[in-house]
Amino acid sequence: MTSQIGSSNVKKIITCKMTTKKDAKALIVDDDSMAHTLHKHLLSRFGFKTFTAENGKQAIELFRSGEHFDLITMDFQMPVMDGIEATKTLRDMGVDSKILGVSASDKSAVMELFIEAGVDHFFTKPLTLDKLARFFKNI
Amino acid sequence: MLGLETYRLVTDMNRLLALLFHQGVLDEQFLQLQQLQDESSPNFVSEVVNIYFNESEKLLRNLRALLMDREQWEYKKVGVHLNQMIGSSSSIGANRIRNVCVALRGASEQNNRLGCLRALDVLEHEYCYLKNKLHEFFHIEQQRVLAAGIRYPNPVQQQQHHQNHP
Repeated sequence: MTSQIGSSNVKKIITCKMTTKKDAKALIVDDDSMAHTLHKHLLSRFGFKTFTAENGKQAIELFRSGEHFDLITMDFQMPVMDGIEATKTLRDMGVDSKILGVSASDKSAVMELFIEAGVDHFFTKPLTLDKLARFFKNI
Repeated sequence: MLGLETYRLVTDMNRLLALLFHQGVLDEQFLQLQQLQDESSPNFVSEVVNIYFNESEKLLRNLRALLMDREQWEYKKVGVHLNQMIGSSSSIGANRIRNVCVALRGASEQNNRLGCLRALDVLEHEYCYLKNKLHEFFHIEQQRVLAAGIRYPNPVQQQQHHQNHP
C-alpha cells in the first residue's frame, strides 16, 4: 500500500451538472466543525462555493433572509433543530434545492425519516468524492 | 545523500501506515483524505486530523463525566456524544475507534453501565494509540518536506545569486 506522499496533487475540479453554471452554492448544515472542513473541501472539488450552518434553524434563517443554495448537505443529529425537522420546514417553505441527508448512523430508520422529510438522497458518513460523484451523475 | 534521506523518510511513513492498516487502526477513508490534499491545501490531512483530536478529547471527557455519574444515567446524552464520535472517526478512517464507539453505544442502549465503563477504558486507550501514531506520521512528513526543500533550492533564487555575486 502506498500513500500519496511525494506526489503533488494539483487541485482538479470534477465536472458536474450542478456546477456548470457559475457560482453554484452549497450549504453544509452540521454542528461538527470537522464535517465543515471535510465537506467544504469535497464540494469545492466539484466547483461549489461553500457555506456552513451549525444547525437546522440557522439553515432556515438563511433561506428566510433571501439566500438560496443549489445543494444542501443536512446532518441528522444537531442541537436546536435536527436535520429531519429542518428538511421538512425547508420543503414546506417551497425550497427546491437538492438536499443530501447525512448521518453517522446506518440504521434504516434514519434513512426512512430523511426520505419522508423530503431529501433527494441519503448517505451514511463519511461523505466521499465517489459518493458525491455518483449522486451528481444520477440527477 | 539528501535524496536517500527523503527516500528513507518516505519508506518510514509508508511502513507506519501499512502497520496501522494491518492492525485495523486505520481504514481506506484515511487514503481518501490524502487524495483530497493538494497544492492549494498542502496540510489538509493534518488539519482535519487535528480538528478530530480536539473534538474527540472533549467528547471523551464528556463521556467519562456522564458515565461516572452514579446518580443519573443520561444514556441519551451518551448516545449523542457517541454518534458524533462515530461520525468523525469514520470521516478520518479511525476504524478501531469507530468500532469501540459502536460497542459502547450498544452497552449504553442496554443500560449496561459496567460494560460502558469497560468499553470507555478501551476507547481511551485506542484514542491515545492512534494519536501517538498519527503524530509520529506527521512528524516524519514534516521532516520529509524539509529534506525535499533543502535538496531542491529555488532555481530562480540561484540564478539571482550568481548574477549578484559573479
